[in-house]
Amino acid sequence: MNRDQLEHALRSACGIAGERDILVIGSQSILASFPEHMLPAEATRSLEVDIGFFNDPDGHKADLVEGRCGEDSDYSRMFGFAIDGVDLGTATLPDGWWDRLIDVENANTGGARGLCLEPHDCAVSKLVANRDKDRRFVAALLDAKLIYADVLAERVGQTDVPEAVRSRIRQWLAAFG
Amino acid sequence: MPTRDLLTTTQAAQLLHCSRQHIVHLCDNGQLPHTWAGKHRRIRRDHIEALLGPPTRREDERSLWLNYAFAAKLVQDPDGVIERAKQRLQHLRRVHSDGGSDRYLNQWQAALKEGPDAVLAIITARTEHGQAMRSASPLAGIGLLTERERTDIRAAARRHWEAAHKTAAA
Repeated sequence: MNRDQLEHALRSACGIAGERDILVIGSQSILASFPEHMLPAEATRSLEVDIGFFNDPDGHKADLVEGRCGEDSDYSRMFGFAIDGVDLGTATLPDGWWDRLIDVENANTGGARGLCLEPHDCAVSKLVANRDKDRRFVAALLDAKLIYADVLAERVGQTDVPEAVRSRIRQWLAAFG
Repeated sequence: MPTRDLLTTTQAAQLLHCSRQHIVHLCDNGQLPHTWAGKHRRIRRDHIEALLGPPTRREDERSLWLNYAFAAKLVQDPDGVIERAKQRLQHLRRVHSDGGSDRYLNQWQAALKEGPDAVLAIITARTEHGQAMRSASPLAGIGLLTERERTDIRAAARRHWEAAHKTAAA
């Protein structure tokens, strides 16, 4: 995905759910922090954007958006990407992530305000998930010096996960100095 | 704690796909909590599972169920579905010309060329690779399912997920 597609997704989600503020919690949140030409290919490989809403306890709004714009929808057929409404409990994030969210709001978002994870917070959530594609995503950002291993190690210490998970992540980060 | 939830170092190594010595190393340097049964270490299963990462997300399970339905359409008309997917792949390459998705699109190209068995293996795989490939699938968006079918499948997947997690919590 690219930034223009992210903004399009925000505009669409806002129109469907009737909510201005949209949380972007997946890898595409990185598009809020860096222009596309700076991002490694691994950082923009996904054809889906994961979004959630703050005031959506039963997930109804997220379901509405996913129903209209999710996988195999007419929307995804037309625009080549899908919007996945996710449970906000999906991501495990460091303390204080809320205060570090990065806004995406302009004429192209049509009244929607995307609230995107700060890159290090996004990276921590990926390292907690620990899938192969997640590690590749974080490694690509580290190699491009867009995020820093020492900041990640600090944020891991501020994340509510078992100590065994923190240790696993810190051992992995050690390879990046 | 029930004994089935306490693992030997050998059992823990099998779960983590590593050597028993590595498990011993993790225990000895304090990274893996453990208890002793005589001279033998015992490790809680949930501590090992924490190292593996979180379980499948509800969204990934929903996607898998949609792909089970794609699989049914594929085996009904393999040539037709494969051809439509190839055309969709070309469209995805044009839309995502920045090259960020090439890793998956190239693998899809190879699978479509190989035929229905290769495609079925991907779209039904309960693996990390399967999840990743389904996120960039050329089978999505070619009209294999009606809107009603999609809605029904999503609702069924949700019920299945909630029932499975309710059982696990009980």
